[in-house]
Order: sequence, then C-alpha cells, then structure tokens
Amino acid sequence: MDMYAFKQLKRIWNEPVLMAMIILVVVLLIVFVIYPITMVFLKSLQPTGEGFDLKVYKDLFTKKYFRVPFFNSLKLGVSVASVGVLVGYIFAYAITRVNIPGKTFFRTAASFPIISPPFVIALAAILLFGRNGLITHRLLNDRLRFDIYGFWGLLIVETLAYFPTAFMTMEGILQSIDPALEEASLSLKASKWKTFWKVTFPLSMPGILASWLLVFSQSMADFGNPLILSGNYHVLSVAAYLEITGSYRIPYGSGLAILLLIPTLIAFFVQRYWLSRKSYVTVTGKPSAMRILEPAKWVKVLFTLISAFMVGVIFLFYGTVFYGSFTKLWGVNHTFTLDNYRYVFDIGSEYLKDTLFLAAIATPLSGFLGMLTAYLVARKEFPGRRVIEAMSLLTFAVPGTVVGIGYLLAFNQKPLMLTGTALIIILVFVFRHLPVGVQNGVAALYQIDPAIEEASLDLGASSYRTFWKITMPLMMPALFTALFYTFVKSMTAISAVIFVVSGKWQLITVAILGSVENSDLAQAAAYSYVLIGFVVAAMFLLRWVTNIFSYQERIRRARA
Amino acid sequence: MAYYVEVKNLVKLFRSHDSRSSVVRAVDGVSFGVREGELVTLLGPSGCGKTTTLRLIGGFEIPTEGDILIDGVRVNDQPPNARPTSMVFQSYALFPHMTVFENIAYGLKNKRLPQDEIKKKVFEVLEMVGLQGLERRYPGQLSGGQQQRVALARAIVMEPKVLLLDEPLSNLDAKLREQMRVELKKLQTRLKITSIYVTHDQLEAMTLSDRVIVMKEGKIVQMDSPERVYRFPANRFVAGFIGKANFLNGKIERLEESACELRLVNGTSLKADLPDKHDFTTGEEVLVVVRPEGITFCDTDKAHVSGRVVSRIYTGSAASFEVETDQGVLTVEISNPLSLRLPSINETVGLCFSRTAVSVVKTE
Repeated sequence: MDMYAFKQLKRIWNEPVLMAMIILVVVLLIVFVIYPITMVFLKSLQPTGEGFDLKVYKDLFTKKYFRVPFFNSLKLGVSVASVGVLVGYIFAYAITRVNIPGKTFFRTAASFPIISPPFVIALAAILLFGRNGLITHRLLNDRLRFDIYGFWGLLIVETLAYFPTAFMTMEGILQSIDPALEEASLSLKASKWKTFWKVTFPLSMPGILASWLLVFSQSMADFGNPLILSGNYHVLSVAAYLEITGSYRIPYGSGLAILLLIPTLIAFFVQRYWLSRKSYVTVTGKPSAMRILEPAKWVKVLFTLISAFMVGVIFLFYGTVFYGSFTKLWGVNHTFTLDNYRYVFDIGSEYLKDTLFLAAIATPLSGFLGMLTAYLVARKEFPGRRVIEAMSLLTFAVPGTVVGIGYLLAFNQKPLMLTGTALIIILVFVFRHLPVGVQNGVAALYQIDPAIEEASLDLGASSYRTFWKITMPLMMPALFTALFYTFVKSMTAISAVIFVVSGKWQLITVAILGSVENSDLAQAAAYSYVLIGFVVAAMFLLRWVTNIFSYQERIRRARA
Repeated sequence: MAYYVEVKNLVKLFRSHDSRSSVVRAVDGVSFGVREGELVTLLGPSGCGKTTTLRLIGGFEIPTEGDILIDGVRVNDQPPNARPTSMVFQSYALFPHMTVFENIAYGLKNKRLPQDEIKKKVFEVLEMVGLQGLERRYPGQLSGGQQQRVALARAIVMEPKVLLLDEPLSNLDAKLREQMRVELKKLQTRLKITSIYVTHDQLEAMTLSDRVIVMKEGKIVQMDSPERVYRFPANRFVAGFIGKANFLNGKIERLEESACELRLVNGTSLKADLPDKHDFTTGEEVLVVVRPEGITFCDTDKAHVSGRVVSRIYTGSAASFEVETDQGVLTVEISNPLSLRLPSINETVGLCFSRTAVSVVKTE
C-alpha cells in the first residue's frame, strides 16, 4: 500500500462513524450483489453438484436446443435497439430541434411505457393482434395472416416499451448541443440538411451509441414480454427460467443466465466507462434557454405526424387494455362489466396488500442506502471507492433473471436461509433498484459545489453533522426520485422476484401472469390498471412531498 | 518575533489525471511564516500552488510532507472542523437551503453556543458587513456582492485564529471588486485577524497585504512587502508578473554596497539600486528592469536610449507609448499627459530612466 492510501485510511480511522458506514455498505454490496451473481457462475460449473467442469457450456454451444435462444436474444436485442434508437432520435429531434406543437404532451405520453408495468404493452398486443384480437379478428376477420407471438410481435412490443429510454437519453444530448454551433454552420453557408449531417448528427453520436447499448441491454434482459409473447421464438431469459422452474436443471439454467449476463455486462461497461469519455458535450446540468431555428413548414408537419403516430400507438395500446378491463370475455363478449375490478379487489386483495407492503418496506431502505453510497462514493476519499461505485451500479447491468437465480441459489442454505420469506423479496427490491439512487445521488452531489460541504467542516461541523445538515437536504430531490423509482419498479417488477416468490408472499405481477396464462385477458387488464393506479398515485404523492420538503420550493415560497 | 502561523517545507503531490504513474508537485517545499494580525497574500498565476497551500492550511488536503503549525500547535492531523481556521471560499459556498441568518449561525451552533449569544453575534457581524435587514433572505435572493459579504461574515463570526481567503473577490465585477477591496482592508485592520489571502490579481495583493508571497510552479519565488516586491523583484518572472516591466540587457560595471553602475548594450551607463542582500558580481551580465511609468521623454543626447514612436494610446489619465529602440520595443507610460507635449507616431525620441524605476535581475 502506498503512502497516499495509508494517509487516507489514517484519516478515516479518525472518524469512526464514517468508517462504520463504509464497512456497512461494502458488506451489504458483497453479500447481496456480488455473492448471488458468483453463485450463478459457480453453479453453472457444477453440472452434477460435485466438482467443477465445463460440461454445461459445452452443451450450451453444441446443442441446438440451447444455442437457439442465445442467437434469438441477440437478434431481437440488435433489432429492438436499432429501431428503438431510430424512433427515439426522431422523437427527440422533433422535440428539441423542430419545435413541434404540444411538446409537453408528447414528452409525457412517451414516458408512459417507462413507468407502467412491463408487460402491459404485450398484453395490449395480444388484445389487438392475438387470436381474438380487436384488429386481426374483429376488424380484419382473420384475413391478415399475422402471428403476434414470435419475433415480430416482440420487436413491436419491445420497441414501444424501450424507445422512450432512447428518447430521454438523446433529448438530454441534443439539448446540450449549443444551437450556436448550428447557427455557425448555417452562417458558413451550409444548408440545413448539411448542417444536420455535419454538425448535429456527429455531435449526438455518443448519445446514439449510448442509447443503442442501453436499449440493447433492456431488450436482452426483458422477461415479462417474451414470457407471454415469445411463442416458439425462444429467448435466453425465458429459457433460463423454464430450465430452472420447469425442468429443474439448475446448472443449465445458470449457464443460460451467464450467457445472458455477458453481453449486457459488456454493453453496460462500454457505455459507462468508454462512451461517456467520448462525449463531446459537457452537460452543465442547466440547459441554456433553447433558441430554435424555425424549420421549414413541411419538416414541421412531417415530424409532428411521426410523433403523433408513435403517441397514437401508445394511446391505442393503453386504451385497449383499459377498455379490455371492462369487458366480460375478450374477443367473445364485450359487454361492459365491473366484475374484473370486483375480482381484483376481492380475490386479488391479498396480492395487492402483499405487494404494497413489501414495496413500502423496500423503498425507503433502498433510497437511503442509495444516498449513503452516493455520498461515500462522490464525496469521500478512501481506497476502493471506485470499486464500491461499480458494485453498486452492477445490478443495472445484470438482467433480473440472473439476479433472481442468484438469490434463489445463494439464500437457500445456511447461514442465510431466506427462501420463502418476505425478507428475500424485499432484498431483491432494495438491491435491484439501488443503482438509481446511487446514480441520482452522485449526479446531485456533483452539482453541489464541494466547497459547500468544506465550508460546513470549516465551521466546526463533523462529517456526520455535515451530512445531515447540509448534504442530505440538498440531495432531497434526488432521494425523492430514487424513492419513487424504487417503489414503482418494485410494484411492477417480475423478472427477478419470480424466482423468490412463495405461496406465502404473492405479488400483483405474478397474478397478472397467472391471468394471462389462464387466458383471462380481461382480468389481467383490470390488474394492470389497478397497478397503474398505484403508480399514478405514487407520482402525485412524490410531487406533493417534493413540494413540502425540497428547499427550492421553500425558497420559491419565500420569494412570493 | 515568533510566527503565529508556520508552514514548514510543505509538499503536496497529486496523482496526474492523464497517466497513473506520474505525479504533479502542486506544492513543492514551501516554507513561510505569518505574524499575529498580519495579512499575507499568496500571489501567482493559476496552477502555481497557492490555492493548494491554502487548502492544506485549512485542512482540506492532506500534506504529502511537511508541517503546519498554528499558534505553536501542529495541526497536520486535525480535520478542518477541529482547526482554528475559517475559510472564505472563492465560490462563497453558501448553503443554498439556509437563510442568511442560518448560514452565519451555522458555525456558532456547531460550537454549541447558547441561542441568545448566537443571535447577538450574528446581528453584530451583519452590521459589520452592512447586511442588516437581509438575515431572512436565502442566498439565491442576494446579489453577488451581498453573497460575498455573507461568506465573509460567516467566516469572521467564528473569530478564527487564522482567516483564510481563497480569491474571495474574483467573482465580482471590476467596480464592486475595488469597493470590496477597500472594505476588506478596513475590516481586517480593525479586527486584526491573522489572514492568509490567495489571489492571482497583483493589484489586490499590493493593496491588501502586509507581505506578499509570490509563487510559481509550487515554489516560493519571493516573499516581501508590496513596495519591496515591486521595487526589487527577485527575478524576471516577478518583475513581469507584478506591474509592467521593460527588460534591457546590461552589465554590472561597478558594485557598491547597495547600488551599482550598469552599462547598457548601446554603451550608455546608469546607476541602479540593489536590495540589501544580493549576489551580483562585478562584470556580470544582467537584465535591467525599467518600469514604464519611470521613463520620461528627453533630448536624445542626454537619453539612456533613443528610438522611434510606433504606437500611442491615450486613456485620459495616462498615455502609453511603444518606442522601437536598438534594445527592442520599450513601453513608456506618462501620467498626467495633458501637461506635456506628447510625441507623435514616427517621431524620434530620447528616453530617460529615473533611478527609482530601475532594478536588476539575473539573466537566468
């Protein structure tokens, strides 16, 4: 150890509270992030339960049955990423550069798929294009031979589900490109067309690549949509699930999970540690007041139409599910009824209570642990803090299926025998959504001048007191976002928790899956809308709480 | 007289950002002392290590080597909250979620003073910096100058043994900076707080300090009163950094106790004063520093140097000229220009140097 690290350690030694916090975070991350993933890997090397060999991987690459899902997932991921990024870019360009009317409306509509339960879109696709689909069956009388189950169905559904991610990333990038650069190009006599290809597009390239990788990972990791929509098109996440819960071949399920993990990990690290350094634009956190060069009329009309079409499709999908939730039997009897909701609040009330209870416990834990980790990583100097950051962000990159299998394997034995308990579900929620807290917290901290905390220390406050009096209040907005996200994602999660749910603790998402499997689509629709209701309620609660507790609001009131 | 603050052989290495192996010697063996009640400035261009030195004294960085003593106590291992120092930050670092009152009271609360005493002290210091009536505002509702005063008030209310100021005026516009400079000086003289002031603005350093420490590349190059730093710069860098300077090549003809006779390349000779301690030798080639405001126009036969006027800028209170000579282009500054007949462009002029405007530095 060099002198520098030694001196850092010596300083931390003098602050026992800080030291305890660092140790706490490290231990938690190792036990609940690293250890489960390691277990998946180890299990895949133990086909017989004893000794280590590579038989599983040999089979995975030689047997067609295993090889197909890997290439299917890759093909789907590449397709969804490419189409999603294209659509997202057009959308982002329309909003930041073309000045289409109704920007707020379009932006809000595009965020639906991000916060809604993951398989609502798949459900809508079945309602519209399935065997009893509104469009395929009713409107076209089955004349169109189109099977929604399979590659094309998944491509449509995942594109709709994940293009908003690409849109939001690229909106940020486009906003941070100074319009003066485009004006300069125009004044140097380049046409608008040329300006776009020579200035705007190259500058947004890092953002395009980043969103591509992000959407690619999301598609690879998607579990809910393929589970109900993949038909004969087998993908890795579902294959791994079926290996474990259907065939009980845990080593093979683990092996498939590792195959799923590798490309998503690569995509994540390329995006985070390589691309982020390539970026030309420095995001100052304050997008300057946008000046927009008024584009030609036909350009505006074209972009408005494309955006309206995308949003129209989103509305069609969500509207269909809403409509479906009030029908007796989809495709057969569309009489209006409240029976589905009655069922949800009666038979399904156990699911609702359990889900709410577990999410309500996990949310604050995840939020505070996220803020604490962000604080240590962004503000304290100690050996290995970069490693802590990478560990805390790891679950971002790890598909839920892998996490679920990991928890199943890791906490099924002493000393941490957690299978079947509420605790294991809570732990999945907490650590699965920790990265959002960490990332938002770090971002918020980087915007707070470190001199503010130094000033507090300088004025005689300890590190501990500085954290509670200065840092925490300033991080409130980030904390609220993290809380909201953790709550919503916990309520709507399926891929990881499906491996750890038990008869005793049930979740709404699992109930929805059950309804879909029983072909009771109307009931699934009603469940989905109850879930959406909770998400919307959480959103309003978040806004209300933010209004009360954030200091920016307090200052605004003081001014008035 | 013993120093109140003592910095001994301070070294701070930073890991270089671009390569893992190399290190940057931000502070490279700095030693100096500050007497009680004195205001000392660390002056230098950006990257010279002045801010790092200040942050080491405040406890925000851990020294790689060396010691820091305040009032005879070694404070190296004390965190900032245990040190008897208070810092005024360049960015002010006001707590955005606290009112002016809460900002200033924050440190006193950390000292666990009783409520009424806190209140009394806060209002005293608010009056001192002229911010009465603004105590319920948030920092975001204040002008830059007011924010600056809050930052200052928040530091001095702590009655620190040493006040550290990190370019406190650099975020203000020129007019306000001048006004605050005067106020700061008055306040410091009245309160007699031992202060260390970091700036890259030589004018600020000259007006405020009892002593100036000029730094370059992590090292101290000169440490003296403002007058002496200006009059006897230690080397070419200091001469050029503080004030304006013309450099001419010359040779020491004859050495007296604290003066010498110089011969310029063109053969003219002139007298120059030297600092008490120096290591010049007879016959040594030197650089002759001539301040532009110490040059006057005179007859060419009496002149030290002659040349042709190539530019003329009139600013009202002064006029400055560039004169092309066989020694290079020299700058001349004439104050009160209306009282003289000024030469025009292309006119051939003689330049006479007044003795107090001339000093000598090594050629390097």
